[in-house]
Amino acid sequence: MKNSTRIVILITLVLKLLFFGCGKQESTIKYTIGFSQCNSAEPWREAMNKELLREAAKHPELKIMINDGQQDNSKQVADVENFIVQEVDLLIISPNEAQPLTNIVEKAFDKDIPIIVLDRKVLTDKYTVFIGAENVKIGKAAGEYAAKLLKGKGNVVEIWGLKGSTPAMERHEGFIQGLSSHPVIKIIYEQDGAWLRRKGREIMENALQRFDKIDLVYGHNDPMVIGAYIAAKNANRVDKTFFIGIDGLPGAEGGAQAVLNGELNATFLYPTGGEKAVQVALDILAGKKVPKTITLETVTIDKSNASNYK
Amino acid sequence: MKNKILDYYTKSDWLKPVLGFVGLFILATIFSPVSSKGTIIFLKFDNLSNILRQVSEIGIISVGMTLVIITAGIDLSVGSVLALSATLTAFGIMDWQLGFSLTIIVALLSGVLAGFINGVLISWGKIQAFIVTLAMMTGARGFALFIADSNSRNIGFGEGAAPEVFKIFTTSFLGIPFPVFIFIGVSIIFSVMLRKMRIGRYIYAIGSNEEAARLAGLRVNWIRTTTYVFSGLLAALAGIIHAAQLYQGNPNDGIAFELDSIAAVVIGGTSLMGGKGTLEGTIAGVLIIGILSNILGLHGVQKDFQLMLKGAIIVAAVLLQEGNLRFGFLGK
Amino acid sequence: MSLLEFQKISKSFSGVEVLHNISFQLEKGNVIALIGENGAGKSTLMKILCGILDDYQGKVLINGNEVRFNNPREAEKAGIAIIHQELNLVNDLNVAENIYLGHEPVSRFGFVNFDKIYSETKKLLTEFDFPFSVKTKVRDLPIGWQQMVEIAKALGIKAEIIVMDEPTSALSESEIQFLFKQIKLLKESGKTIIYISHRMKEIFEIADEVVVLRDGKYIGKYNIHEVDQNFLVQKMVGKEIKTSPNKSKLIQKEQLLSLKSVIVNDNKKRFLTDISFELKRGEVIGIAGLLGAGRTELLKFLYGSYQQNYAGEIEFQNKRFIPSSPSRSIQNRIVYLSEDRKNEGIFPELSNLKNSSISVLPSLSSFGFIKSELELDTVTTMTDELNVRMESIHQHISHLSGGNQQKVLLSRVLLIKPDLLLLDEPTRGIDVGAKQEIYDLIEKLKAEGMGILFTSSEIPELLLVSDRILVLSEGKHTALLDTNQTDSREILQYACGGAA
Repeated sequence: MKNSTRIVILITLVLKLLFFGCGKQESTIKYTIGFSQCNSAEPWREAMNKELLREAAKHPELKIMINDGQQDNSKQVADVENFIVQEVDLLIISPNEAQPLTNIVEKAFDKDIPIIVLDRKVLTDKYTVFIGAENVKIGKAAGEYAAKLLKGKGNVVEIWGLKGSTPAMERHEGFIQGLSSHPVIKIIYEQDGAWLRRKGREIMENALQRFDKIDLVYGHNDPMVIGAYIAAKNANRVDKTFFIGIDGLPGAEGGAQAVLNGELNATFLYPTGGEKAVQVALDILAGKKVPKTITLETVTIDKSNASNYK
Repeated sequence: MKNKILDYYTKSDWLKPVLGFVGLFILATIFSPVSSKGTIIFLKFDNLSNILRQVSEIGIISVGMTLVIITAGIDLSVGSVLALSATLTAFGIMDWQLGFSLTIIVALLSGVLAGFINGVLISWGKIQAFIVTLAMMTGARGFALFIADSNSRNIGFGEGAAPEVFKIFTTSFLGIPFPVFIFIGVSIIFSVMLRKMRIGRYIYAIGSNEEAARLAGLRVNWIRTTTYVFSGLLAALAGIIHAAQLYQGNPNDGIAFELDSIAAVVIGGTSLMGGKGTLEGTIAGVLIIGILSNILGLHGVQKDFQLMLKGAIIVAAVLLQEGNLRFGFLGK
Repeated sequence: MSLLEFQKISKSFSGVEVLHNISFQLEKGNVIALIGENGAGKSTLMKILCGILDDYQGKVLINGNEVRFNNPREAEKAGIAIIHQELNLVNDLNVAENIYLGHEPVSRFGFVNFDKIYSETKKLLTEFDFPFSVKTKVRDLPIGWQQMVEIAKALGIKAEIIVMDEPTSALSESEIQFLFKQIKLLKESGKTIIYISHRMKEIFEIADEVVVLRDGKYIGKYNIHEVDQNFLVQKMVGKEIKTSPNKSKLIQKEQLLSLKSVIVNDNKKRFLTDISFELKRGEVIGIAGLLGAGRTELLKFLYGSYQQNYAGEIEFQNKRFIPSSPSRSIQNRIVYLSEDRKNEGIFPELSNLKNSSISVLPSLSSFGFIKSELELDTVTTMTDELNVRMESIHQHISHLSGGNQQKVLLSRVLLIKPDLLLLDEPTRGIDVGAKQEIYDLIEKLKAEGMGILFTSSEIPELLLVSDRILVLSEGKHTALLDTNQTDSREILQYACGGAA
C-alpha cells in the first residue's frame, strides 16, 4: 500500500511539472483558439504552426492551443472532441482527410463554435470560412513550367502526396492540365510518396532502376523531390534531369533554400495560411463578416527570386 | 481485519490495476483544466463519454488479446485485421452492395478466418505465435491494400450507397455512443466466459502449464486456436466500428494497435508468461491509457511527452504488480 | 571451536514462521545428513547458509565469526557451495566452461584464458577419474557425470562446505554408488558435506551425523551409529508409522489390460521392446529399471501421449486398444500421474480446486458453464478423503508442499473414476508421512478393483507395493517377477540386463 502512495506522489510531481511549467499570463486572455493540425511532423505543417503562433503572439488577448493529429483520423477526431469540451471560442482545423473529419466538424459547428477550415476541405458547408490555396492552379503552373523546361517533350516521374488526399489529387489534376497542350510529354512512372522525403528517395531509386531516361521529376511537395534528387545524385544522374516541387517553405530545409542550392530547378509557393487564419479569426471573434472562401495565391520560386523566400 | 484487506489486495489479480485506474481518475480530476465557467472539464459528461468512445476500439481488441496472452501467446495481427475488416465494411456496403447484415458478417468472417489460420499454424504447425501473427499482420494488411487498391474508401449514404441503418454505429443512447455499449457487452460476455465457463478455465490452464494441460486430457490445440479466433473476431468487430466512426474504410489504419493493446493488457496485470490475468484488469488498463491520453490532450501536451509518460506508466504498472522493486529511494 | 554454527535462526514468509529458533553446530570433515519431512525447513535453512535468503533473525557463524551473506556469490567466496536438486549447468557449454562459469580467469586484454580453464579443470577432475574430455558439452554427459561436474564446480571455487540437496533423486543405483565414493574422497580431504535426502538407506550409508528438523524446529543431532531407521523416522514425523500392511488378496479374475510383444519405435531408435504382461483388476504391477530403462516411456505410451506407431497387441477390457491421445485415454478411464510434478503436473497459477477438477469439468458443467457448488463439493469430498493439508481449497497450488501437491494431482486423476491407473514415481520427492498415505491409498484403490501400473526408482518401495514386478533394461522387457518370490538383488540384476 505504501508503495502506491509514494508512486502517487511521484506522479503528482511529474504532472505538476508538465502542466504548470509553462503558460501565458492568464489574465490578459480573452479568447481561446483551438487548432487541430493533422500532422505536425510534415515540415510544411510545422511552418504553418510557426506562422500561426508568430502571428498570434502579436495579439496578447489570444491563446492558441495546437493539437497534433499525427496523421491519424481517429486521433484528430479525439482532438476536436477535446476542443469542444474545453469550450474553445474558435476552432481552426486542417483535416487529415475529408470524409472522416466531416462529422465532427459538423458537430462542433452545431455547438455554435466558429470554424476556420485551413488548407484541406471537409465534405459539408457547416463551417465559417475556408482558407486555402488552390492546388489545381498551383499544379497547373507547375505543369506549364515543366513543359517550358522540357521544350515540349520528355519523360516525367511524378511523386504523389498521400493518395486519396485532396491536395494530392488536385496537384496531379492541375499538372495534367498544364501539360495538356504537349502530348509528347509522358508521365512514365507515378507512385505514392505520402509527402515523405524518405519515400521520395525510395521511389526515385526504383524509377532510376527501371528507366534509362528521366527528364523531369515532379513531386507534390519539395521534400519528396529533394529525396528524389538525392537518389539521382547517388546514381550520378542529376545532370540531364529537372526537379520541380511545390511548397517553397522558408528555412534551411525548405524548398527556397533547395532552389538556391541547385537541388530544385523551381518550386511553387504554397502559402500555409497560418498568418491569414489568425487575422480572419480575429475578424470573426470581433463579429465582422468574412467571405466563405479565401484563396491564397502562389508564386513561382526559381533562381531569380529564391533568396527573397529563404 | 487490516490483514484481511491486505491479503485481498495482494491476492486479487485485478484489484491493483483497478485501484490504479481509480487513482488516475482522481488525479485527472484534480489536474483537469477548468473552463471559463468554472466547470471541471475532465468530469464533463461529454468528455467522459468521449473517452469511452475513444477507447472502445482498442478496448474490444484488448479483450481478445487478453485471452491470447493468458495462453502465453501473442497476436500481432489485430491492427491489420482491423484495417482489413474496416476496408471490407466500406467496400461491402458501398461497392458490392451487400446490405447491412451481410457486410457485417463478411467483415467478421475475415477476422475469424485470420484468427483460425493463426491458431492452426501455431497449434499444429508448431510455429511460434510471434512469427505466425507477424506474418498475418503483414499479409492481412497487404490483402486490405489489395482490396482497396491502396486507397481509402469513403462511406456515403443514400441510393446506391450505404443504407441508413448503418448509422446505428454513430448514434448515442442516453448520451453514450453506441460503440461503448458494444465494448461493455463484449467485456461482460468474455469476462463471464473466463470466470464461469469451462473454456475459460481451460485457457488459464494452457497458459499455466501446457504439457500438464495436455496430459490432463485437454484438447490444447483446439482451445488455443479458439482464443486466436476470438482475437481475430473482436479485431474485426473493432474494424467495423472504426469504419463506421470515420465513414471510411482505410487499409492503412490500425497501425501499432497491437502494441497499444498489448500495453493495456500488461498494465492490467496479465503476465506475458501466461496463466495469469483478468479482463477486469485489462479494462482498467484500457481506461488508464484512455484517461491519460485525454488529460494530456486537454492540456495540449505534445506527442513527445505523451509517449515518454506512456512508457513510464507501462514500466511502473508492471513493477508495482510484480512487486520486484522496493521503492527504497523514496524513503523506507 | 566448530566450523559452522547456527544461532537462534528464525525466518518468516509473509507472516508464516517457517524456521523457529534453530541452533546447532557442525564440525569439520564430517558428512552431516539433514533430514525432515517436506516443509520442515531444510531448504530454507540451506538457502540462508548459501546467501539466497538474506532476511532472517539469528546468527550464522563460520569458525566463530558471524557472517551474513547477501547473495550466493558472497557465500561462495566464504567457501560455501550448494548443489541443487535440479542441476544448474548450462547444457550447451562444455565441462570446463561450466566449472568456470562466472569466474573465468581473464588474460590481460579481457579475453578468457581458455588454456588455463582447460588445464585447471583437468587437474580438478583427475580426482574423479573423469573419463570424458573437458571439452565435452554437458548435454552429452550421462546425468551422473553431470552431477560430478557440479561437485567439481564446487571444488573449483575452493568450497569448504558443500551442501547437496537431494543429489541422488535423478541418479540410478550404480551412479549413486559412484557419487558416494566421491563423497568419501571429499571427506578424506577435509571437506564438510551437508547432505539432504529423503532416502534413509543412503543416510545410513554415507552420513556420520544426522540433524533432524520438524515443522521449522530443531529436533536433535545424532551420531549415526547410535540410531536406527525407525528412530529417525519417528523423530521426523513425531509419530509412529505403520510398517507395510499385509499384502491383500485383492486380485480379481477379470483381465483389465494385456500387452503381447509390444514394440514401440521412435523415429530413430526403438525405445520399447517385447513388452508382454497381463494386468488384472485389483492388481499392482511395479515397473523397475535403471534410469533411461523406459519406465516413463511405457506409461506415457499406454496413455497415448506419444502417438507413435507400434507393433504387437494391446487389449484393454478385452477389446483391442490403440493408445491415441490423453483425452481419448481419459474417456476410456485410463489415467496417468506424471513423475514430473512441476513441468507436467501442476498449474502453478491456479488454485487447488481448479487443479483438481480440470479433467472432469465436462461432467461438472451444463451448457459450458461450470456449476461451482457441484465442483466444490466434488473436489472437497475427494481432497478430504486423500487428507490434503492446505489452508484453503482456493489457495494457489504452488504454496503447497510437494506431498500435498501430489495428493491434489492424485485427486485430479481419481475424480475421473479410473479403471487403469498409471502412476509414474508417485512418491518422488515427498516426505515419509505422505509416502505412507500413498501406499495406503494404493491398497484401497486395489480393493475398489482398479488396476495399477506403478514405477519407482526405489526397489524396496516396489517390493512393498506391487504384486508383480516388470523389469526393463534399456527399453527391453527382461523379467516379470512375483514379488513374493524375488528380492532386490534379483531385480537389480535384471535391470542391469543380466539374467539371474
